[in-house]
Amino acid sequence: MKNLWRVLGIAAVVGVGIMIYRMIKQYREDSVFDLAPAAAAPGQKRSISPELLSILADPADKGPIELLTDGQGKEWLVNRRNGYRYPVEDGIPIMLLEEGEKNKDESLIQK
Amino acid sequence: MIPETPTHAAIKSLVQAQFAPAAQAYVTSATHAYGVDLARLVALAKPRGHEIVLDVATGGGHTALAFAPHVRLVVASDLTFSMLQAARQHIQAQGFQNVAYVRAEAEQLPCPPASLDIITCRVAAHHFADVCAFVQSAAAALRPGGQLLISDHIGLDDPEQDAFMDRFERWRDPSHVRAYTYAEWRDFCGAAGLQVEVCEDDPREAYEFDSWTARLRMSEAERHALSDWLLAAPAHLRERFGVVAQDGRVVAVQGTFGIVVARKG
Repeated sequence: MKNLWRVLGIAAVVGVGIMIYRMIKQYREDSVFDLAPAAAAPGQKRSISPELLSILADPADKGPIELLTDGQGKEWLVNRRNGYRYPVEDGIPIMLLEEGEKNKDESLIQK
Repeated sequence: MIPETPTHAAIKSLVQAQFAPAAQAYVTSATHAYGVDLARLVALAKPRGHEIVLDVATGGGHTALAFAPHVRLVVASDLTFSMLQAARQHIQAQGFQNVAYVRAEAEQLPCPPASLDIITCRVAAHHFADVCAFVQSAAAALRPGGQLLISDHIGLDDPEQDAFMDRFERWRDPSHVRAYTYAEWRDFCGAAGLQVEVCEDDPREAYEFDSWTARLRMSEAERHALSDWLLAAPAHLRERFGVVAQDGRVVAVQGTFGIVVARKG
């Protein structure tokens, strides 16, 4: 009987641990753009110049895109019409349609 | 046997597989770095200093580097990420900071309509899965009066010569899709609303067979096979393509190149 309670206790602790992990993970995903600055943080150099940004478009609809920085400091070029997100890797925008689709975030769409 | 024409996705994969490991070789390749067509492209474009240029499929970045001193901004684009990194390293080492780098597909340029003054594409269009889509995309991105400058392998009007050249180019480089004739370029540009202003031959030196085949990592057996095939060709084709042999092995063969300039009305 004592062993049964011990096993149940361990299972409960593990379950609570998994729930907390999932909650944190979900929170981080949901808040990925909470800190998205319109301009670079002090001391942080943005990799995309305003001039380059002005001549970049979503290859899907050729419309304007925004440069956003997520909670982890990673830069994305975002189309708010369809939620496509294009990553910036090593300072190089990856403007491939399949990347935008793969990283789509519908919560970013502004009607 | 001539390989079947691969699908769009297969061509993209082939191109990246072909060029990613050879990125540095394309930066240092004499054929790509020192072609007289580089200066000719700049001369034909006649930049005045304010222009925004997109160099599509920049490879080793040589065209972007040629234009950088003459324009406000060059955007060097390529499908292969490691090519862009190699190009950036090369261009920054020359002291130019007005060049940006973007990974993009030639057929789906990530640029707003009427946003660019000049689009260049050198020794690359023969790799594109859909060259018509590229020209359409470029035409849309050009401002009225903007120019599209192509420097590339040029197909030949003589079907026998054209097929022979296509065979040895694709044998050496499976990502070589097609060298288009001037007439085909006129059709592509016309359909996209561009007016072709210049079609001129670019007489280049013959390929130095060993380095030409080594750059794309052909096996020794394949190099021998290609060499034997070239030597077995009819005399008029060997002469037309400048096949030179030494000790029973090909040491040189000639491709055909040209420049096409089209303007948006």
